[in-house]
Amino acid sequence: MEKVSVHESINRMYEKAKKEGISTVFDRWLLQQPQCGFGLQGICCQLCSHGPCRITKKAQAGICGANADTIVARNWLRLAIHGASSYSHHLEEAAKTLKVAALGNTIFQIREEKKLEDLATALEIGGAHNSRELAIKVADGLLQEIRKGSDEPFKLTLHYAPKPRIEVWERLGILGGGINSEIRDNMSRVSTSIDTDPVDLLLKALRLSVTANYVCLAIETIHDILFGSPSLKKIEADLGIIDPDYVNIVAHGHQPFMAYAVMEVAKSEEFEKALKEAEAKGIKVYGSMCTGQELAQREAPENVYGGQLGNWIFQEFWLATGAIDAVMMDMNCSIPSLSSIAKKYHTKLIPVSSLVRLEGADTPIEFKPELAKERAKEIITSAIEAFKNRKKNPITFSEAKSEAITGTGIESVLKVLGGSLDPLIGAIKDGKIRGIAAVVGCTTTKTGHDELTVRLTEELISRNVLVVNAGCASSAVEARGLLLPEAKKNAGDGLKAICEALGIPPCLSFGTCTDISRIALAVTAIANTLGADVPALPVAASAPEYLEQKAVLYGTFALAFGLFLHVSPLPPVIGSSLVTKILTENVEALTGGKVAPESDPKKGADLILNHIESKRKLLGLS
Amino acid sequence: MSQKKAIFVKISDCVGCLTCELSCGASHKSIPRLVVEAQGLSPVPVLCRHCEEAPCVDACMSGSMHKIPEKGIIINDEERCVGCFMCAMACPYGVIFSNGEGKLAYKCDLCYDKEEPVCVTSCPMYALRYTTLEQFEDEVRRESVSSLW
Repeated sequence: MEKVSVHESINRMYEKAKKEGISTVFDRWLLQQPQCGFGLQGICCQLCSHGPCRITKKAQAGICGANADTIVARNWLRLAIHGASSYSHHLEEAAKTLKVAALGNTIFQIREEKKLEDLATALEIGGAHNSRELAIKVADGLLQEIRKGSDEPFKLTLHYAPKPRIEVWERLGILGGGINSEIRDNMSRVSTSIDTDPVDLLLKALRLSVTANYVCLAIETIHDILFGSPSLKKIEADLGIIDPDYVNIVAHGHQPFMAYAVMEVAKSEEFEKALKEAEAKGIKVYGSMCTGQELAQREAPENVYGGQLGNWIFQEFWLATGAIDAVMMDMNCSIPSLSSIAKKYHTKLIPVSSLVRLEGADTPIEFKPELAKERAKEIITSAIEAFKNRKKNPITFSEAKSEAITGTGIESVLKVLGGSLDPLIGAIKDGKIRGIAAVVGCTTTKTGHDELTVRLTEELISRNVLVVNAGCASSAVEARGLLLPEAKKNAGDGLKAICEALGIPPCLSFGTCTDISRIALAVTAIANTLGADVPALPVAASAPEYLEQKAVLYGTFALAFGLFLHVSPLPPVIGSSLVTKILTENVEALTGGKVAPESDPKKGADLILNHIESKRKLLGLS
Repeated sequence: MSQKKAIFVKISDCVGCLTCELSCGASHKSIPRLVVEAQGLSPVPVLCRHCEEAPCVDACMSGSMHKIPEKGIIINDEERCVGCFMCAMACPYGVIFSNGEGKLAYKCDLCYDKEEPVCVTSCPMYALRYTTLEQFEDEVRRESVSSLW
């Protein structure tokens, strides 16, 4: 059997897909080899009609005179802008949904008043008579914050960021303002011949990432207000969770609003008759990618929630089982190849976001908070209809699944620790835990699906580094069984002892890529407790399989936040020695962060451990 | 022999942009006569070596695949080619192609009507060199010693 993934389930499904003539990411990856070196190095510019230009031995500048440094830095900022605009869209959807919930016009209610008050404090909002009134003010306040000028600091940054960071960001001019204005300013900057200074372009990417991180924090806080805060729970993961006896609906993307509405409607007995007629046992909603991580981290109706299927690369493979009846495609990451696979089966591909469109998909059923219930019913009805057309005996592997403890958040961690961070900080101080590494981000075909994420994580825990995950990396460790207390057997002695004492796994998943903002908040809490700034801490970040623009943005934020960032595959910056040097060396003097590229899991762990040990030494820890 | 020019490949300079394939196809009926293969993640241009003792010529039963000794090139006479692809089976490099209908063998003609093959002219990395063996080896030697001190 050909090995394309660290997960057995994917390797087996890949065989099946090949036999059935289904083209998957792995096949198309092979067909794309070799990939163009100009693109890989980031030294191709296609902005104007003089071009495309690329930097060669012969031509050290494009026709306008832009050299490799300008082209690389400008391309990098363009990628970061893409990431920021997706997050801005997400916050706007969330804020509008919160407002409609406050007005009592949707299926969702305000569940976490304390978090609402917290956001109100951050936004300097007061004078509300009840939580509904406050929620309306907070929603309006956030919409105002999203849209305000880039010349006014983003209020949430000022409220949630570590004070020493804010000073650094102010000094460097990277304390960003309203996200939409930042996006607009930067889109203008990266046009032909506006901002062509590579150093300034990189600083602007840092600035954009700072606001974007606190946009993400607001997104997750609103999710908590509407759907409940993260709480520890056990879920099942991987392709084996698919139960062919049920009407199977996948919630796929990043914005979980429709998914929660569908679960809310599906848990009732409303569809009992229709399900009986279709000879289905019931309805299951499975999570995929970051929308899945949203469902995995909070309470979900047990009779409906089916677990987490996997990450980005899993999507073609759960579809190719033929056992999925409907896919709710929200923002973002529904890949164009899905429609050709769905065509082979009976599966409905339903865009549920106003932005998501796919040739060959079904009629969109867009999420609108006021119509959440009706639209959820439409989706369920459509899925039941599709179930009736399903070919009998789809391929499923009931044994290919693992369990995972999910729902790590600040509150749930504090609960486990007995109300304070002291036990964790104590374990770091006495060296049982050497440090904490956030292994986050996406998944790639370049080094084998989830191969590097899983191997690096296993390597780190064996060397007594506590690992926290978010994004598609969370799906990788969930399917691998690393989010279980039993995974401590792979941990070093010190970490194992802490896992035993606290009853925690050696890896903790914070959830979605948006939840990286909560990891940053946890790091902020540790820094505040120790009275130190972020760069002084024995912590590191790693994006071992970074894929798309949101990852570029969050990688940039790691630098702004003052973190050591291990990254793979090699980002498209190596065509500029200046940009490469800034990112891997010089930026450390400015923000305390820096990038270290490495595609070997052992060597990557070495880099992270070296960094952590050097910080321990500076803190006087043995 | 010593004055015969050929295309030499500096594999380490190739970045895999495929410009050579595009330009070759553009001047050869849309069918590129060379391929940039991938070995792992590294690009490797593969093209006809215009062998001294060419297996494709030996294998050709119609006599269409032939050598032009004075130019040092092997070309296929498309009038006489019957499309049996014995040449393709004999070629150790896999650089004999079909015209798309499977009736005619296409291969590199070293752009004999031009001063320099278009793949070489278009390569932005100078990874393809059209030169004599002596000149090429001379350059490689110089490069190798230049890294000493």
